[in-house]
Amino acid sequence: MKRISGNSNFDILSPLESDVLNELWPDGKLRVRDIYQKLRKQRKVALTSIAVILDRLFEKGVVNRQIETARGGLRYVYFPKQDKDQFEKSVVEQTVNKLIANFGDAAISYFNERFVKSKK
Amino acid sequence: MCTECNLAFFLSPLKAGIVALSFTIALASLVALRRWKTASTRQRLSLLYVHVFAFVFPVLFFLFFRGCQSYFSGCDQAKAIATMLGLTALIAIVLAFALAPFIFVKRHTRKSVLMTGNHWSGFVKRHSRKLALREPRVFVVDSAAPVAFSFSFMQPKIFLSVGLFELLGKKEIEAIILHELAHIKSRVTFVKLSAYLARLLSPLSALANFLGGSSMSEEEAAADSFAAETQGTFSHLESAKRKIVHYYSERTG
Repeated sequence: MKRISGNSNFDILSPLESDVLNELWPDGKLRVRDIYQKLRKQRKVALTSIAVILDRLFEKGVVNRQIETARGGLRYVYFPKQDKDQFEKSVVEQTVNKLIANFGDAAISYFNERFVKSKK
Repeated sequence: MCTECNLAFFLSPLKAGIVALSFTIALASLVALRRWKTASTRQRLSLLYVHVFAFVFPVLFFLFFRGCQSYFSGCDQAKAIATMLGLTALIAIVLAFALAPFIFVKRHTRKSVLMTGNHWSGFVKRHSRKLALREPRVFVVDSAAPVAFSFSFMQPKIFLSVGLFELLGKKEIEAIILHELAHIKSRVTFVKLSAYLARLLSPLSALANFLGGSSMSEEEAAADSFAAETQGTFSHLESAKRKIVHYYSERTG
């Protein structure tokens, strides 16, 4: 059986990655510290963890960033590449494509069964 | 000088082929070095070592044969070739060890933003005067990882990453800058950067440790002491280091 490749841009996100994205989507553009201030009210989290997560999301191509000059030096402003609906759609699309590419007819017949079941 | 043998060297298809192949590899690695924008520092260093090796090899090959093959005819051929390869590797390593920091710094300078007319450039100016140093230029590197390093050849330079400004407070960044100024003052930035780069390539880490092992940890301690003495406390430097260590443990964890 073929192994499903695990280095797609839209692999399943970690809980903290999802939380960070959920803060980014409504606001559009945020700095590391802004996201940290918002998330620390909900959960115990360190500023360094948020910085790591945002850099990972940037490397995965989920968010983009630009440098802005602030009072204390330079900072990144992060913004999502897609809105929430587009992002979810592309995750589903890529996952389905991967399953079909790896399992072919078995995946298609399974989707058919699920589709018929959900219609009932 | 044996002109006939020099000509014979280039007329020999085998020798000319080896030289052409070697220069082709040198050229290909140079092109890759310039074009491969997404290559990691380790990949770039590997290419640099390949480039220098492939460039040095034909020169040595020619020099060895220049004396009408007296060297090769006088002893075991295999032994002679092995010696030549060993010598080439040694020269290439030393050359790449010397060149790597310049290439590394040039690349970072190109991708960085020069800081002028703000608190940080003023801070560097003030303290470099106190240390009787030529004022270093401060560059901000486009990287989310908290990184700081300095290089001093003709014009001293201090590189600070955007990640450093994201994660550290004002006093912590000042502690890091003072630490880097101490390195510039003690004129170790070249060896320090060379050793760091050599350490990235595991086969050369032993050489890096040999060149900058215990003396570098003493140098680090001296730079830490300078920063702490200037600030009157170790706490800013310690908290900066704690945050940096935490970042990298999260990053790799």
